[in-house]
Amino acid sequence: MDAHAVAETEQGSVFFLYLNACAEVGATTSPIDFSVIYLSPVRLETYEEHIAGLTTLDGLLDKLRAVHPNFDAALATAEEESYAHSLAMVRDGVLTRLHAERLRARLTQGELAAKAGLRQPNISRYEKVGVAMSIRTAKRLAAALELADYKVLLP
Amino acid sequence: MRDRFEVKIEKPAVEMLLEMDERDAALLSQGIRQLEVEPFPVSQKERETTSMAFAILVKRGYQIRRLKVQDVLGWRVFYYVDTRNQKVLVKEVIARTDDTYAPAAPHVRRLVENYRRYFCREVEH
Repeated sequence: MDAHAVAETEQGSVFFLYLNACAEVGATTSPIDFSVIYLSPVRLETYEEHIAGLTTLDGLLDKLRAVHPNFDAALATAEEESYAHSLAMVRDGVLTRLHAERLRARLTQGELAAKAGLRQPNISRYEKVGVAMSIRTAKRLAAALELADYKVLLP
Repeated sequence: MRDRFEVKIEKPAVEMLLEMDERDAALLSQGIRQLEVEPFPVSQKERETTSMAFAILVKRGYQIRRLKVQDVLGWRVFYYVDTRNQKVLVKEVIARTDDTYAPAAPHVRRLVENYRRYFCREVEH
């Protein structure tokens, strides 16, 4: 009889136990002979080690540039397509223009708030469809987002 | 959402992106790049997708509230939002038509394995 067993310890190590056991049925002999036992520890990767070894966004873009020579131009086109899709969502009333412009500028709410001299929860509120903002706030946000016309941000 | 998320990509997703044509790879990269600033789906109606793989994971008892999915063109991107470490982990990029209820589908097996190894123990609990 061959038996394989995997046991996990509290420390996260796995021991692979291979029992080459001989089964004999008889009244006078032992039923299992543990003659050969191999014990080898295998250390499990922790979550932190796992994420440390993953490809970063910059690493991915570099790999794609190596495969596709004109990847940067394609990425610029993709950015425009993504922005056009966001504007279509603004027209459908699903997204606010502020949200679409923030995504285009690739800023977090906190980063935009810091640039415009506002608080992050206010940005979150203004990004809800139908929430009004003052002209003064719209001007500050437009300046932070480098928009020529602040009126596009008004609902 | 005050800080920028760091985006990391798992090996199966990288391999899939490298196999795509230039336009699809660029559009998906743009979608993945936006996760840095906007990891949570904007609206239930427009941006969040119900995946069949989710149904399998829920049925098996996995807590997948931080696993998200977004559709870009004909592709489906699965990613995990780790708010504690401020990271977005892109798990899988698959063709939308490959997302099935089959528990033995490769992407479902990898997601289950990933959850069993890291998230159930390290993050969710």
